[in-house]
Amino acid sequence: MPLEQRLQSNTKAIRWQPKIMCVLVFVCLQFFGTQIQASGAQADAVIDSENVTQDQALQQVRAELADVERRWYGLTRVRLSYPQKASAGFGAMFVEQAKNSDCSVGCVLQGWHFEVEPGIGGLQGSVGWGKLVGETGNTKRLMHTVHYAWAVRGVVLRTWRDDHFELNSQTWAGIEGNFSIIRLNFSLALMHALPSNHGQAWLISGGVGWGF
Amino acid sequence: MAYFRRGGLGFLNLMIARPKSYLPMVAWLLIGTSAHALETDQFYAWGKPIEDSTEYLNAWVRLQIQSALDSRAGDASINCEAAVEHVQTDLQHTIFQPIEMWIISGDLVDRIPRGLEEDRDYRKQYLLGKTIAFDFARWLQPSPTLQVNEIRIGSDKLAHFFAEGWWYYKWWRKHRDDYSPDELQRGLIQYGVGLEWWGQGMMVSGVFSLGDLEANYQGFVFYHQLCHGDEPLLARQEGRWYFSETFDFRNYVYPEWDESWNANIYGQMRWKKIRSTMTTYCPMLDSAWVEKQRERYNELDRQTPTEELVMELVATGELPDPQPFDITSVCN
Repeated sequence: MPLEQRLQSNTKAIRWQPKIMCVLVFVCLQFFGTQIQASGAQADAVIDSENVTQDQALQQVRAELADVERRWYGLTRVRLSYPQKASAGFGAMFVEQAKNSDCSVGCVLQGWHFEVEPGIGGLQGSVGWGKLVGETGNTKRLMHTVHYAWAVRGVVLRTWRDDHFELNSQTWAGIEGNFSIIRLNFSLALMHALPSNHGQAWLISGGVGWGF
Repeated sequence: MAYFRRGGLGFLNLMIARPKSYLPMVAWLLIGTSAHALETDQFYAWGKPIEDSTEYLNAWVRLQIQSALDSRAGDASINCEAAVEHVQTDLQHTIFQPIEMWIISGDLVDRIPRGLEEDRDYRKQYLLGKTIAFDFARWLQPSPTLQVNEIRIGSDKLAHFFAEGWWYYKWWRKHRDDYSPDELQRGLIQYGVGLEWWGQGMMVSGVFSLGDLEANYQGFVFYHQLCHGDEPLLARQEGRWYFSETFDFRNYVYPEWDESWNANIYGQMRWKKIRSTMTTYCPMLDSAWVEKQRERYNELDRQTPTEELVMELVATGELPDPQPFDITSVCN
């Protein structure tokens, strides 16, 4: 029997038996209706659960980023420069950082920092603002490995030798740019003599070192 | 036009013909090499459990972008491209990328290694851990492995996604009126291959990562979707820009991002030691964990535009064949 005829005969048969039809509809509604409702509810539950997970994650990340505290990190560098010759710098950077943030393996800092740097040819002090990516390892607060950093800072330099020219006991003030990458430090400063009896007014200072 | 049709790397020709194309690369090599020379090793994390961090990463992106948009909320004249320009300054920086720094210093994203002791072990054991003495590539910490949509990736891939993805996008914007869509796509990936060969991979760390290229390209797709397509991820309502909640890393991360699945090409100088380290993972290839992961990857893996171009470059001899560097070749 062709498919169309089969469908027609089945329809006729059912049409002639309304009671059976009613029972079938009832059973179908009970069975499939429940199933459709259940699968719909399941899908809703999955979507709800995903939304809840997303919202929770959002809240947690927001809380982590917002929960900050003030910290300081120690900085050091050794440097060969003019006119200080060999020098060693000790400083600190003050930052606002997420409480959960841990710099033992690596972190990024940005903030104000200062440094005092005694050397063979003079003593330099500086204050400025900068950014740094580095790690503290076990030390908690000493940024002993600097991967990348830069800073611009105001410097005051007191020279105490006159090996090169009239720098003897002269005080200089100016601005220094400081850049470190994979621990190597490069610095360049332009300074002006504070009132003195010596003739030279401007000084360009530069150096290469290790650290920041 | 010949630039695109030349095919392959063609670096020497490119340098002679278009100095503007390589000068940024040289500058990058000189001052920014450390940036994306961060290497990673997914073999090290084989068999070790990592919680999936997709939701945290999605949340971070949504918060960063919405925060950037809100900071310009008063500027009603800002158009979509200007909004993207503003947003990218919070997503990608000159060298170390914000998302990667957040991952390695924070608590939320699960990863291997995690903590100082594990990190020390990782630095000793990872693929580049025993290469040549004073290896420049080891001066930077290797990136940890994390999990997105059950796919293992190095955190450096997310840095590539936002940083080089942005470079790709800028390249696309600059050239979109000059070339056909096919030529644009090809040129875009070729540009990425150049970056990976010079300042961000082979010439710095001796590693040419095909996974990096995949992440770069998906990053471009993301930046492109911010203002383009049927449903851009940025939309303006009542003068304010909003970032779509539909953003999801699941749409971008593929098994090709996993360097244990998508083999790197290694420089000769380092390969011998890397190979030796890689062979220590051979017994794990038959473990249930690795087999299951590779089955899943196999189901998800598809031919990407980057893979198509790389295969072409390999066929023309302009790029070494990555197959000998694959763990299956090493172990056989």
